[in-house]
Amino acid sequence: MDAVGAHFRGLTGRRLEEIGDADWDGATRAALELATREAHLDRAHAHHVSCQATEIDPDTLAMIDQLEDLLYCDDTLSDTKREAIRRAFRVEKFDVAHVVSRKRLALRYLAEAQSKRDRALRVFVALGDPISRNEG
Amino acid sequence: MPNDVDDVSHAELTDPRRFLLRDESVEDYEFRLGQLLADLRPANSLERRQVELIAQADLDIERQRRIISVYLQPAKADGPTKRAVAGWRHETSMRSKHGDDLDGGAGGEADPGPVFGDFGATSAIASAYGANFGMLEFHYRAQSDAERRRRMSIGLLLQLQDWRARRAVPDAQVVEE
Repeated sequence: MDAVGAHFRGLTGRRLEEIGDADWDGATRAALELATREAHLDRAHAHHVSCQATEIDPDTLAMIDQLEDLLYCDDTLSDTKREAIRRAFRVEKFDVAHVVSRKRLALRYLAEAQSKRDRALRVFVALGDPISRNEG
Repeated sequence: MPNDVDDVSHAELTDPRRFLLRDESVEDYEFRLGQLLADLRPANSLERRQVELIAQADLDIERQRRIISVYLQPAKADGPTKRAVAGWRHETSMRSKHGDDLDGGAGGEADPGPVFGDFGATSAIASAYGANFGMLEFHYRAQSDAERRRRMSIGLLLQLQDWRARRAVPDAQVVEE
């Protein structure tokens, strides 16, 4: 809500709390919509960037370390080692798919946030701009 | 009007630390943003925000290129499980040849880091591409998305500047003789 208020103040020069019921005309509503979309876009972008750094899960890496310990243990049957290797590969594959899916979702949120924000910007500008209003 | 697009007194740019990774610097970003601001000459807060979005998209394009190049390093041809198994196999085979007095050299080869102009590395790069296909597919897509975002942000900025320029033109008046 703070981010929306900051964007709203940036757009209109007024605090959100100062707007009374009678002040909610089309332009003010458009400013609030744009401020909300700007805040969403900032969040979606920050989330997208934070997902770029997502690598293999630390638990999976710990599991692979344990696999190494198991492989070097001479008392373990080779069938057990083979099964452990097979399962480790499956977990790693699943983990990579999970990371890719998270990144893809974040990218989709960003694309949606960007297009909604661009649309809100066009409406906001059009309401205060007689030329573009005539074009519409 | 509350949405006076010529108002320049409320420009607030987003704190870059919110969208920078550890290998990116605030100074580099601000330098890039400064150059864009000088080139594109935004005149109000809406246009400045648009320039900021262009700079962010620019940064994202470079970031995706960097990540793609990391995934294509020959050292990335094997995942952690494969590396663990290969290390164990290597040590087991060395032990069967040389016995238990094996010293050193069993920990696998150290990553030599990026080397450029090594044409013999093509097959290892192709292996890395195959091993990291899922990740690479995503990052190529993220790169093309960032390029599209950049294109659209530039288009919207030019449109905003065009609207602003046209607002400055006084309405035509019908002159009756």
